[in-house]
Amino acid sequence: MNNIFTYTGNPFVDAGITAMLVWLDKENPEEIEDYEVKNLFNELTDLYVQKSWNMMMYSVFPNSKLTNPSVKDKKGEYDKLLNELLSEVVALDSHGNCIACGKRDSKRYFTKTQVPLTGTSDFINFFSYGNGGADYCSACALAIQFSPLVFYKCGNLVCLQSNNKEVEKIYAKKCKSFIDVQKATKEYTGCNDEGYTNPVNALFHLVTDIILTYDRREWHRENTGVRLYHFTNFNQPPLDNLSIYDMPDEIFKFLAYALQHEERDNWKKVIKRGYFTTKKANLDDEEEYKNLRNDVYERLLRGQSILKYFVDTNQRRTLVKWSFLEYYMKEVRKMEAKRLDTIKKVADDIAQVIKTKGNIKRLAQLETAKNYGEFRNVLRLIIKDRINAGFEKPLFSIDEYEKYLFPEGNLSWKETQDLIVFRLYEQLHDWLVNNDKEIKEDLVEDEEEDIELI
Amino acid sequence: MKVLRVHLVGWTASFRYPIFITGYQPTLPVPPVSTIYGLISAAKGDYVTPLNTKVGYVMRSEAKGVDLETIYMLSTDNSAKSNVYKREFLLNPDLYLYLTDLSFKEIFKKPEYPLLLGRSSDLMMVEEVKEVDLMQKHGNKRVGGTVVPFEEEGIWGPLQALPMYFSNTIPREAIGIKSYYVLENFIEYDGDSFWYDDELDWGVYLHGQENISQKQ
Repeated sequence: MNNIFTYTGNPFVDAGITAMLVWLDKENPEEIEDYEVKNLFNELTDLYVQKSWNMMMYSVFPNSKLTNPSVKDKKGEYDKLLNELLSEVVALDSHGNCIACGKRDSKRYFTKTQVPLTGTSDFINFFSYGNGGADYCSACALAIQFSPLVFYKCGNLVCLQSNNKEVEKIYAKKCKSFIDVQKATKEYTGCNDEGYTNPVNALFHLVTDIILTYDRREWHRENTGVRLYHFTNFNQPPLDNLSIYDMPDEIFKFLAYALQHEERDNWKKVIKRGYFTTKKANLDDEEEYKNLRNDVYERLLRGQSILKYFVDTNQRRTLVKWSFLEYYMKEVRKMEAKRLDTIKKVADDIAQVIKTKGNIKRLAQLETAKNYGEFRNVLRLIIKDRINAGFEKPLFSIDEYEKYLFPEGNLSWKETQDLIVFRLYEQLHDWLVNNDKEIKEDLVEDEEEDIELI
Repeated sequence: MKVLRVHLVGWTASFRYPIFITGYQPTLPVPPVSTIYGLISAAKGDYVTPLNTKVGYVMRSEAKGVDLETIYMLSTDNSAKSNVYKREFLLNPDLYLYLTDLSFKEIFKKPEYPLLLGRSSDLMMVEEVKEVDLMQKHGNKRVGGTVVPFEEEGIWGPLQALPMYFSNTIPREAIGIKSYYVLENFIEYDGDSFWYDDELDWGVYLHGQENISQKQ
């Protein structure tokens, strides 16, 4: 019998289905036959009774046949449960009360013993109509039994979900390879554990792995979001036993772009600057810093700008090229192309006037402007510089000023400042390096003049 | 197409993930369709399903917060224990409902029961009830603040199995459970499955009769 499984949107059911697809080397859930599922039981029970895997089961299926100390034949009893569930499986219908697939009726109630994060019969007022558990059909409950195969260890456990089923399969194949090695070497270590304890960093690591492992350049053609459920189903769970981390499609695409771009090494430097480092952390050893909080990652997930990480203000240099920044601003920050082009043009003209007049002070003023008014005043001084230097074209038109440079006035000036400074560093880099000595002397003179004026 | 647009606002809202009964209760960023039919039923004071009216909605909120709550756990042996858990909630929900049955206009002007968006503490107020024209707009439009069935092409986002409505039988049964994209933020959509609200400049997905498999 096939047409038993279909994607449901339930992360645990879908993880189990993806595991079965990878283990059976099939494309679609509907192709999975009941006898093929039965053929996997032996491998599953063998694995789950191994010491390291069995320890993990306390956080997945507590009080189950796998973890209850009163059960002597864990393999046999768990196999019995799997066969019971399989015997109750019927093909997909058009409707049903199963809270995962909605296409079959439940034949029994399930609790956290068989389905993670489902509560117990001590919670009957939290279940529909005061029943003793949740309404899952036996097929979905059976699929859930396969989900630990594709869990990831990150302090607690991680269940990965994506709207792009290819992504789920790529990830599941990695999990299978990891388990295959354990079986071949007879060294069982539990589900995939790469030493991550910080779920945000783990999310970026897993996505990076997916993008790089599956060597293709077509990610931009698809819309891929990735979600991590970071959880423990331990018997006495802490209050924070579940967290959800979402990587939206634009961040996934940006990562794919960055990782397949000629500047990927520079992107890695940008990431490195995002770590909240301690004096003890050695930034040459990934093992030492990979679990530190990373502001770049966190800002990307929160939808905040990481623009400041693209420049090194101390060295007055950029870490990536304008084209890379342009992609980030357009695709992630959703900045209008015309606005970006206008800012670039204005910054290029400012660079020209700074070089022509050798006036490094203007750059310093642009860098250090602390509010909209101050920044506008520096632009006014630059316009005067241009007039004095005999430039014919104005720095910008009133239309460009209103629509593109400061479309929201006080709200958007900072972003404009950051972009102009970025472009100035890029354009003036060689000039700054070649005239380093004179620039420092000029700055000292300027400071002295300022003091005299005061 | 002429529809009824009802604008509701509130202070808080919360939509439990049906699959989680645990120490931490996250909220969905937007309501499931079943919550919307529950709200319409409360307004009418009678049972309303997709057979009575199609419904579309766009909901936004300003922030998420986490509340610490005492809960009472009833056991099968009729004993009750108190416990503490964390519950996530949404701040300042702002909901636009679209109903194809225009007769609900008077109902929303004078609802039969309190209008709730989530739990009994999540009270909503009707700001405006208005007949508007939804248009077919080809090409790009922004869509979000709603749920959309998984089979819709050109939509993406986190997935969740959610019910469409509940039976009015005892015990209550969830009907039309399926996988939905949960669209918290707006995305650009280029297709014809959404209607378009010209005034508010967003797409509206209508959930209704053809979206469900009826029990015979």
